Amino acid sequence: MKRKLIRVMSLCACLTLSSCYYDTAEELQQYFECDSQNMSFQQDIYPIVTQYCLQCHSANNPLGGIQYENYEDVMKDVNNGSFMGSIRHTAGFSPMPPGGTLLPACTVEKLESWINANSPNN
Amino acid sequence: MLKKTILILFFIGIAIKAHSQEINNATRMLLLQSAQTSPKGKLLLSASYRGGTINAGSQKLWWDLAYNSLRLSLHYGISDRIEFGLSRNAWEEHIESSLKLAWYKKKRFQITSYHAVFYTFTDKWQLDERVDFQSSRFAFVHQLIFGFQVNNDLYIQLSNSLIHKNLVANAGDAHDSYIPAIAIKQQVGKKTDLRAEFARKLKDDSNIESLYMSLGIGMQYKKHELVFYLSNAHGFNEAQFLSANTESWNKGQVNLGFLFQRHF
Repeated sequence: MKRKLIRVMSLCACLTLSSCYYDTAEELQQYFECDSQNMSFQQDIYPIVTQYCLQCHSANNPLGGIQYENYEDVMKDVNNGSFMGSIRHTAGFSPMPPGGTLLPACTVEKLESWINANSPNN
Repeated sequence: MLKKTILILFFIGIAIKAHSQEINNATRMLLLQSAQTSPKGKLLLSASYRGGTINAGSQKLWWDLAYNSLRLSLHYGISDRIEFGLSRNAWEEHIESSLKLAWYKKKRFQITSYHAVFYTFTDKWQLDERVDFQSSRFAFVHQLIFGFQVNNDLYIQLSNSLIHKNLVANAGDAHDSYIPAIAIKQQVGKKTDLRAEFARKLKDDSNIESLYMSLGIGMQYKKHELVFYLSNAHGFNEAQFLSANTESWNKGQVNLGFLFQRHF
């Protein structure tokens, strides 16, 4: 029995220890340049909202009473601070997207750049 | 008279033995693995449900899919000392494969090791702005568990976990975490017990809560076990609730959950 255990254990050690890596998301993101200048709501921002938010916040499925169907819907939460608060996982806001992980840094930068430019409806 | 006394003592002995065998027959305490492995040829079905935080309203507690999650797992006893498991977590969409090996198995003391590989299969992992390696989706846990059956009612276990993540968010975050934990199970009735788990991360990471604590009540009925608990962890596997937990009891981030287990 002990031999069997040692064999199984050795196989596990080989399989798991041989596949250990030490990567960081920051380093992997450095391969990309983030262009967050002159953000357009239709071209840049709403596609992000569609990709990350509409699954749970559409008119058909407004979880928590929140829906992002158009510019006006998004601006309600931009103006009260909950849009970026949730995305940045700031205390006091529901962290979004759910699951504990933040949106990619470049995506957050694009959203912030658009808001800092007074959130144009372009 | 002597015959009667012997008979009574005999039946009391059987009752005590049956009672003590039922203590800690679960392979999971609350979220932590127990030192117990599934018996040979037995399949354990385990379903865990995690609601939202208890102070955030009924919508988040029960219905909101953004806060509620499920884990299903199957564990099979290859022998009385080797258990193989497969699980799927809805939270962060993980699948995991595990192996539990009982190295030392006595009535009052048990040493078990637990080894698991976690794989994040969600498409959300593939980001447009980042190089995506398959290796980044993997995390591993190696756990050494010492289980002590102090008496017929009290079981204490010490777990030492080494958790490795191939990918972390920031340069300062640790890929390897060593986390000691303690779990206690106190029988309060024939079929009812109280359970508690506590873990402390030795090295602090940014945005990660170092303390993990769960408190629960377990009920057994024949081959079934149902455990209700409160926990500051939202994840189900060790790589989530021990080394990547962001919620805290001090901030009122206490989740309601239950665990159902049945042996086939």
